[in-house]
Amino acid sequence: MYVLRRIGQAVLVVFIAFTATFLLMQALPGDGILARYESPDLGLTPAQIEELRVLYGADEPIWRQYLTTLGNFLTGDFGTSIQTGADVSELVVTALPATVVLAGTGFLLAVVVAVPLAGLATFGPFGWLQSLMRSVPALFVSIPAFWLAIMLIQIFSFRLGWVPVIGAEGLQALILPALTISVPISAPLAQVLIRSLDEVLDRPFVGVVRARGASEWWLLWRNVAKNALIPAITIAGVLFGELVAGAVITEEVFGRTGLGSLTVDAVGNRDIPVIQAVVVLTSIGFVVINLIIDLLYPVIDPRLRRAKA
Amino acid sequence: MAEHVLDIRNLTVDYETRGTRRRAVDGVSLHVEPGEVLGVVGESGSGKSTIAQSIIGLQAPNAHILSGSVRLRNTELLGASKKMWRQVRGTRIGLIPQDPNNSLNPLRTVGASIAEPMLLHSGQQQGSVRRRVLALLEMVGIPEPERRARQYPHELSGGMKQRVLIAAAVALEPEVVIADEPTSALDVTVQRRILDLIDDLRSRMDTAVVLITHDMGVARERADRLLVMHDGREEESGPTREVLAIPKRDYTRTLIANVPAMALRTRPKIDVDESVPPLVEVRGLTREFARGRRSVPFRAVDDVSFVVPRGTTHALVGESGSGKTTIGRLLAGFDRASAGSIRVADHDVGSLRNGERKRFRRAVQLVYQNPFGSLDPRQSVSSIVAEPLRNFGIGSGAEREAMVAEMLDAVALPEQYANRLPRELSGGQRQRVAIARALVAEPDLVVLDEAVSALDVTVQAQILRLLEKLQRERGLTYIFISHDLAVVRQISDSVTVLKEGIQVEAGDTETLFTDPQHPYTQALLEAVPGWTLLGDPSI
Repeated sequence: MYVLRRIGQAVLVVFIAFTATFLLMQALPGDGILARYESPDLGLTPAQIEELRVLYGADEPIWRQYLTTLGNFLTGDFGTSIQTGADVSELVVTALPATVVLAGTGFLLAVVVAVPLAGLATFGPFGWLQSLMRSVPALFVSIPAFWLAIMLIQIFSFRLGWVPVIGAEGLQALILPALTISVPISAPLAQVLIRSLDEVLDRPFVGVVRARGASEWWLLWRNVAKNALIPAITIAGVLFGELVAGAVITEEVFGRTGLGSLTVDAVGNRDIPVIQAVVVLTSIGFVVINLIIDLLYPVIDPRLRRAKA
Repeated sequence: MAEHVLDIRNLTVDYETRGTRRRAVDGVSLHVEPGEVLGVVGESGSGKSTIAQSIIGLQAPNAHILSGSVRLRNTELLGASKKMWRQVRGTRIGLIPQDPNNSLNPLRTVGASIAEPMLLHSGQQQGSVRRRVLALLEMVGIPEPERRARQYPHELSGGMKQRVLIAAAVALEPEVVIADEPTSALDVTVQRRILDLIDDLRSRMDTAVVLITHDMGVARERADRLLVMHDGREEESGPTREVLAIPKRDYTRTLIANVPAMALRTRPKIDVDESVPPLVEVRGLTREFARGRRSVPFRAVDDVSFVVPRGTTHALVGESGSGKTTIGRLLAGFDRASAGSIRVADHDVGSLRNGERKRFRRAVQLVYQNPFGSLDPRQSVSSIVAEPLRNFGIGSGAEREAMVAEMLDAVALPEQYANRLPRELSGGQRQRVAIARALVAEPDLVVLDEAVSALDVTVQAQILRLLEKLQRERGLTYIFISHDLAVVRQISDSVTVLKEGIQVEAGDTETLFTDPQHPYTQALLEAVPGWTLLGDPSI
């Protein structure tokens, strides 16, 4: 029952995202067809442009366009790109894997960095090491991704020459973009983890576990970690949005193809079908991730489980 | 001398806060024998908890142990390595913590918490640990151990949780058990059962117990010897009977006098003028809460009636869940009754209209239990006390200032506290602020909901005296909600005893306490620490 209700809410969120994008796109002056064909170089007459508009269905009233698009989306037809004339589904399917790999690696990297960092900041040896680990995330939270990307290229590609700027392949091509995308995720994640570890360590039960003769490792793994996890996975769900925004910037700066660069091009050309498809896809991703997290809470915390009937 | 299980010599501990040092324990010595209970008694800040923490090596990071020795049989514990501490904790020293509600990991089953010391130390097999956990649960008096072991802390009551914590503390039969205020967070009847259990385990395992408490009543009933602490120093020590019979120090005498159960009832019997209508009249009060669609609603308050004459104190007594707080909320107009009526002065509380509601709010004020949560942490004391004046539009700026100053004086808070923030005050001082806030708009009725329950006995006695003084001077009427019968006996003129929302007994305090009729009232009375010893000529 609970799961069904949550899935219902998720579907509603995706629907609202779809509608909002549609309305926003309509509110913009001009449309993709004008942007594509109005250029004097093409030498098309207004009548010819008008014909194209009829062809794309842009002359119909808004509510009919809305219903048509919605119906098409529901049947899996994302339409055709105005700019390239290609099938939008095909464009998205081609762009998606590169972005998923980038985002996945970036997210993994973020977690791999944030977790030990938070551990060292709370359980680590030496006071100076703890305070160092505490100040690092605050610094990186305030670094913009595009600047970081440029700095990384400057240092690792131009100065040190470790990674070629052009023509890098496979893993080599992934390292710097993944690093760029991971920092804006890793830093706030580490901050939240440190805070919640601190908060858990302050609770009376920690002293009681210590009084049973537990080592710091035992305390961390058997008692504290799980308690500190809940705020961290909440923020991880919110940071998923950061991942998408990060992909846009990172792919542009590093000249990678993917969903991010596809979006940038589509927005530049007012290629509404592509934008619409990207937004729906992203919101589905966002909603699915947060749904998984919501369903995870009761697994972690027995207090959130429903009372057995 | 080698026979002492625990032998502390000349322990001195400082706390360092932002460069300034404060002595918490000053040259204290104590020892405990197997099977003996040593009661360490004192107010908060007397250093008794610091001693407990030093025994198990878990003092706050800013504590500095300057000198002394803590020996567990032949092992010196001060300056022990981390590894050695880990070997001693849980195996040779067990800890029963203060607040059972926050002392268990909420994400682990209670069985896992009890198994923890065994898994840490004994290297037993899963199967034998499991059997031992069940045996321990049975030993601490938890029915259905199989089912309970699989439950999580939030599924257990406070008393049950404390039993679980005791089971974990004694799992490896330690030589010393430190019980740090083990029952101060529990109801009196539960308190008694928990203390009985500790007693029982002590005699069965021949464990030495260090019982830390602020309640002389508890110490008197349970300790073989006493160590009275004040400002980090030992005031006096000796066998419990001797210390109590012939206290050598004034401070000890004050501590004894402050225990409500041991104090004499000084309230004169009141003459109620029958021709004047009572200030509060409660008739057939019932409050039901819906419990899902199909099940029967839950009756938190079930047909309760009482009257309170002006200028007197009426107590509502019962354990948690008896409905006493619900009645308090109904009286203050925060909640609506399902049936019955409440009249305060000329207000019918069930049907207040907007203008009347405001006048009613001024006539009835509340003081809550938790002095930490009921004051805005960002407002100064004077601004907190002035708030009702601002809300009700009483007086000009200067007049308000004068009224606040007068009020702070009435609750005996020194002038310089006016500009402080709540966090800079002690628990007792905060409760004085809460009382000042309740009284500043000159109400007729004050509902005191467990208003002294969170305080040390000494501070409690001071606040009770303050409340009595203010009542005399201002002709106030109190509704005093409490689980503590000893306190109720001291401050109230009439009592309603509640159990699961039903009033089981009511009457004037003197009669009810000398001759309780209902078995529940009798059980509540017997549970008061020091009660059974009251009037015992041998002490």
